Amino acid sequence: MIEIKDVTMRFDKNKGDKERFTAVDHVSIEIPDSCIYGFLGSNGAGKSTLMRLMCGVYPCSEGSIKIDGREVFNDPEAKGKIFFVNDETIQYSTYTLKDLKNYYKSYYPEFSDEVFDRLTAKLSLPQNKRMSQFSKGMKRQAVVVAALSCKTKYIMLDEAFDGLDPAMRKIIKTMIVDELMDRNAAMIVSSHNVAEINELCDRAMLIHQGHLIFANEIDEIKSSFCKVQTALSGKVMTKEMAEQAGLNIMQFSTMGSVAQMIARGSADECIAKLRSLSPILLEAVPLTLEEIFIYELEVRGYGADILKED
Amino acid sequence: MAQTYLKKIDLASKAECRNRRKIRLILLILTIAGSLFEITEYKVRWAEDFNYNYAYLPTSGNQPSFDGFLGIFLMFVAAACGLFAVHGVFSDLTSKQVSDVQLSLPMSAKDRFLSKLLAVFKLHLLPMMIGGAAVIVIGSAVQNGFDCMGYIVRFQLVTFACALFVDAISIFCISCCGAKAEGIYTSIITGCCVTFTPILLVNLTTNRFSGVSNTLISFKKPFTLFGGMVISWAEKEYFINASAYVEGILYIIGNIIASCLLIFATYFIYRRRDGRQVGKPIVYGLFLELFMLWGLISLFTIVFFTGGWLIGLTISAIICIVIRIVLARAKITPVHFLAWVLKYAAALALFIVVVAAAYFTGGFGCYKLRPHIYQEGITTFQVETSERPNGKYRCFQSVCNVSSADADDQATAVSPDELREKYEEINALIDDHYTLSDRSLKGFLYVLSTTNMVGVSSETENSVRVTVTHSDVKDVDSGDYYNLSFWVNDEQLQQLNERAGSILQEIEYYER
Repeated sequence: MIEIKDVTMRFDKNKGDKERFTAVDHVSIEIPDSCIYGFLGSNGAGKSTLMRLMCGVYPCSEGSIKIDGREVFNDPEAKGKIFFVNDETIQYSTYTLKDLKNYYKSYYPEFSDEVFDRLTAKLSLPQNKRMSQFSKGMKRQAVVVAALSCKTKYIMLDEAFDGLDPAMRKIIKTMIVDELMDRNAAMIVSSHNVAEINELCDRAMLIHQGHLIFANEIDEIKSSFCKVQTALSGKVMTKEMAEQAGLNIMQFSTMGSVAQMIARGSADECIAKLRSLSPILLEAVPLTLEEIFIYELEVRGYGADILKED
Repeated sequence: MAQTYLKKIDLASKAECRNRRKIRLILLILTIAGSLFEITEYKVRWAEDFNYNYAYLPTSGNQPSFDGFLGIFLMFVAAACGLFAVHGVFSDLTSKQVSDVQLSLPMSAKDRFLSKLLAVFKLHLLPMMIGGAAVIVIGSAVQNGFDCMGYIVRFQLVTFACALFVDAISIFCISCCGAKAEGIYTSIITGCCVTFTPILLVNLTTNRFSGVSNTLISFKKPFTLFGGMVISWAEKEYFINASAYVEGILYIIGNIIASCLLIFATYFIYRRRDGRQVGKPIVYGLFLELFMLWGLISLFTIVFFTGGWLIGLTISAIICIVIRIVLARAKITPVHFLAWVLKYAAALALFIVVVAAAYFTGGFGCYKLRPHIYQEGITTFQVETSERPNGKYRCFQSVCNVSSADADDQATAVSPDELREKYEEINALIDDHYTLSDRSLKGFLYVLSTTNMVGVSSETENSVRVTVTHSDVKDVDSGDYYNLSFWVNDEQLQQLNERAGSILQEIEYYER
């Protein structure tokens, strides 16, 4: 299990900046074994920083990150359990696949030649071509194959599916899931594609401006938000009325006499609370993860200024 | 356990080496070509065949030398190319992408540092060592010069010391920088400053202001000859002089140890580095300030020697400001600019204070250095005085040959006690007439405004030069080993001439 406890990451101020920049602010999550965990967040939210903290690239300014009970920073044993695939592949430009294999083989004693050869053959990746001559997608595939071949207990992919066409995305995802399931490994994946996280992961967390907004199983997350449509007889529903009924409203709008709102809580809970107003129309449906992402960030003012200008 | 650990380091270093194919190829080509040329350029001849016109060289025995230049040049280019090997291997400190990969690998900072050192050794130092060994063995075998192979061994040690110095300085600088460009140019500038500034500064502050030039003791100031100055020990003269040879070898080994110590010290900087500092031009403010200070002191020293203060200060100020602007990636404000100017002024003030201290204390007390019995043999004492402005020149000399009791030249024969007495008389003469009473603020300003290092005008003062020369029993000249120049007023000159005449014999006199 990966335990992230009250982690804060501050970067030293540059010349001219008055304050230190806090990229991750008191974040606590637990990532259990054998799961696929999705990191969601706006651009610059702190996802990649958190991943770098989790694999020991950065030390925590505050708090601790433990992998199976061992502090990860500067601990080779803890780091040997996690593989980080960052969002760039330029560092491998001069490598051939053989070089890539030999490189990671030197560091990970569990490295599997069989897995590497099988997966590269499956993806038809050229063995003796330099990776600088690969397409962006092929580079991604090659690095993901290397990550899987290292046979670490945890694999972190930072926007790893970027640059892959939809068919290849599906192939890679299936390949990852198959490999991970075979050996009870866990994967942590960050992506802006919420639908993809929804489809691939069984747990997710949302981070914004360094603050953790939620972290839970995806089904739990989805069932804790709902979209409600309601209409009252002879009057128009207002936000205040809904809040008085006990709803935690994230967004409220009206169209004619019909009010539409996004509220925290399960659909059944919200319906039960609104029944006290004797509505003539009352419908509640769970939200998709994408809708939750958008509304949660909207509540926090993300993109509001731009939308206002538009 | 230890074996597993070493295997891990070795595997990691192999991984590093595999990914530096280009620089490895370049270094191999340079080293192989350099070694081959050195082998062909290495010559051993019987001394009589070519030493007839060099009085200071022995006239018998095998004499080694490098006839050509290309081999030596290529080997030193290979040594300098260590800079690129180091910057390739330590790219985790300057590239975000590489740091993401390497810092997340299952290695501690210590493991990473050791594996990278091993990679640098394999890429750069090992080929040079193998090339050097090949030159020693093949060169000596081809020339049948195993009896004098000490020369070629020392030459290869010099090359190795240079290569190690380049690596050590580069590792140190890259560990203090977070950007490739800064890593490279700070390495080059620091390497040059470490090599040249100490000897220039010591020469300026002690030799020039004390008036004493002791060619033999200058070898015993190793701190003035660190880094690239190790090349000076490749000269053949130090091979022929046995004591200088041993001293040279010790000095080269000292240089190698100093480089190793620098690498060891750098480990403590490296282990403090993590992904946060990658991309910052200079990671440690202290390094930046020391780098700028040392660079400026070097420039001021050169300016002092050349005497072009106006141009020199302007150019050094421009260089300083340009480097500061390049380093300040953020917005530059007038406050920043003012701070830079003040730091520049502080460096200049510090330099002037040090130079002034050296001037007023006679080279930090070095003016009190006196000649002493070096070794038994032929010692020549000479005192020359020049009276200004009329140009009256007088020269007093005495030759003392301790070893010539049975030789033909009985005129110069002296006993060891007589020689000691002569030394004492000469030293008393210097003590009585060479004081620092002529040092004044006016004199110091004169030093600053001209290239005259003594601080008195040759138009108004009279110069005195005391020289003690030593030759060994075979009459092989070791050169001046003590040389003192100072200035006296008219009254002092008259007294000094009278006294020199009583100690030594006047051999030359003329008036313009």
